[in-house]
Amino acid sequence: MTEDGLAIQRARAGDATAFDLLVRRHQSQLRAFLLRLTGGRHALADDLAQDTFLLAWRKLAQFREDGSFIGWLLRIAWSRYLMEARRRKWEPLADTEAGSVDPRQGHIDRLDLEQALAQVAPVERAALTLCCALGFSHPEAARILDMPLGTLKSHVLRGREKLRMLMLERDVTHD
Amino acid sequence: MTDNLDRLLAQPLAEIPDNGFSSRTSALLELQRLRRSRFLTEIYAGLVLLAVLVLPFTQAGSALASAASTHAGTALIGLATAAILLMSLLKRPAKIHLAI
Repeated sequence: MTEDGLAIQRARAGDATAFDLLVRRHQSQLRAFLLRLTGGRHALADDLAQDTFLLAWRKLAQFREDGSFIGWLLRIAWSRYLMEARRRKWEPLADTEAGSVDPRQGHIDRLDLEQALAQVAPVERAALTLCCALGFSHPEAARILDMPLGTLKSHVLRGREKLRMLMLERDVTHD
Repeated sequence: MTDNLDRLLAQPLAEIPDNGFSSRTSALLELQRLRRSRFLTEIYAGLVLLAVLVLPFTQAGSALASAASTHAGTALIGLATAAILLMSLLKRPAKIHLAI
């Protein structure tokens, strides 16, 4: 059994420290995913991540061992994000706000990517992040985003194409 | 261009330092658990109170009272026994409530 599997088993039996361990283990990936989805809104991403963990605790009995725990968490996070987006009727962020990545931490390329990602549709952003940055297979990503495999693949393709155009425009502007 | 984009997209997401996030989440979870236990205890206590108040006026209450008067003396003892039995069935949430 995996380390996650053991912790889940203990948490299901009511061991709160086991669940704490799961929170500590997965918080970074979950928050980074939500940070990208929310276009760099740190406080909101953390609120959603917290909600995700609270929901996961309540629904732990529903977790089936046939997938990864982080995949299950990301699925809850995605559905929480969609609810929040509908509630707030989000407007896209202004270019200066989008992707508030600290340039000291990465290269200018990465900053460009985050800014470009903030301009593509959230579902495309999520699909690209899951398949490219987080390394999920297409079927896994489709399950996380609760959509048919074909739809997921077209989101990935469309998102990549939009990004390519955006990055190209940016390069032209910079030159 | 496409190669560069693929390379950028494939970069793992930046590690986010915990900075107390896990502790805050755990504290919230604990609070949620306590609230739930408290809520359940209040519900159970309400049910017990209701039973104690209503039972004497029902057939079951009369039967219990007569059995109690036969076996242990008074109807009050019978009701108290019933209440204690009920409380012991709901022992766990009541304990948590007392701990709060």
